[in-house]
Amino acid sequence: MMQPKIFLIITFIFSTCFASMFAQQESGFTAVTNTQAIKDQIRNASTRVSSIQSDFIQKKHLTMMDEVLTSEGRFLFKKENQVRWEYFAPINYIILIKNQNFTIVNEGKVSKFDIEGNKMFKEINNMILTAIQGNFIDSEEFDLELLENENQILARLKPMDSQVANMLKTIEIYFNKADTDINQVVFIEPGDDYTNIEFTHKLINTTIEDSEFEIK
Amino acid sequence: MIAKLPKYLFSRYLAALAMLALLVFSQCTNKVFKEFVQLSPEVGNSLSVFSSDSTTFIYRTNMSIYGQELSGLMVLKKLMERDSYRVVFLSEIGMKYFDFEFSNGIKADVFEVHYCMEALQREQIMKHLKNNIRMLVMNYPEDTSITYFENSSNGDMGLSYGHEGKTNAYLFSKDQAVYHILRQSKTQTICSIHLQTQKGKGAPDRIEIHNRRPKLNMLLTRINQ
Repeated sequence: MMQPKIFLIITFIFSTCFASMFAQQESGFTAVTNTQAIKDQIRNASTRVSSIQSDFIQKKHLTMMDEVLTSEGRFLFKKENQVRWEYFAPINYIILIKNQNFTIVNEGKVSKFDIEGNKMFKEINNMILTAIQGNFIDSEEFDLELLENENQILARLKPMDSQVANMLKTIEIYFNKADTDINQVVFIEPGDDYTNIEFTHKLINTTIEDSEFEIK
Repeated sequence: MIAKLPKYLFSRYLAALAMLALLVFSQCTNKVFKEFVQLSPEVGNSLSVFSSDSTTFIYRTNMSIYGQELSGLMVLKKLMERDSYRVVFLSEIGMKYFDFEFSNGIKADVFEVHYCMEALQREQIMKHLKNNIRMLVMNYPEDTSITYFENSSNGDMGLSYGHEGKTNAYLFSKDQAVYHILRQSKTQTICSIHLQTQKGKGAPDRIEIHNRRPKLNMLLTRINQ
């Protein structure tokens, strides 16, 4: 009962990360003048992606303390529906999605879930696919605001669902204007704590073995 | 039935009840401190599970509740200026499960929920999370009476707090490292916490929390030193 709700939110966060990849946060953003052109650009860029490999650094900022909680890991995506989201430090934790299976490896302990047999995981899977294909642009689940500066596009998403909005105030995705790659995603919570995920060493459309999406 | 008893029998009846209650309570306490000698009661105490100079303690945490698993990082932050502890439990991807604050009050303990995800907002879960974490951060009302115990054979110490009709008992070594905490009703142990602390560290490296009902368990392993 509790777990599906938790996973809904977790995957919601993931799915927005997967949507695209690649940017640098800058100030001086103003409202996009040609909204439809930018939406098409993001959507077209998503359709060109068959695989993604990237390292990431996740920084959690809590207003109660000066220290930043930093995690590092690796993200892999391969069409049609294979995802590996792996943390190396400070903890070992992996989420694998392959076809109809959802697997979590927590410090070596493996938990497997059948997406088809679980309505919630099925929904999660659909959300991830939707996000990777760039369909969040037209999603009714977000109030979307598109901003731009000289080098970047900023997609600012406000969740419409009250349960999600209770956890996330805003999601900001920073795209490079030239190639519509994303470098950074920021999740801002109602209390102004926020999580910043920065993607580095990105490789697009390279070969990724299927075994990467399986537990060895 | 009680009303029909002669007055002198009624007094004896009450005395017997009081003796029975005292016996049950003392047996419960004695189980924890069976090898300890009770010292004189005092008010105020300097014992702390987190006695290190550090103000931030980060633990890899696995929590199981009603057979479901939650995992991530637990951050305990001493807020010196407010004489309180802020305790935040986060998932691996940075999502908060809860964000609580525990403060010292004069007559009552102060517990503030800055955030708690909806799935955890059940009375029994909240009650146990609050009590479990308070047992660790030891923020009790200032006027809480404390009973001290001493184990004359090895020098270990014990102390017990009366808290909301329950007893929270702490067992600690001569170097003030707490190794076992129990929360007890008059008849049973409600929660048991085992702690492992390397000498001189001032904060546990490993904390295991077990509750009888609901079946809520936590394992915390420290990742920052």
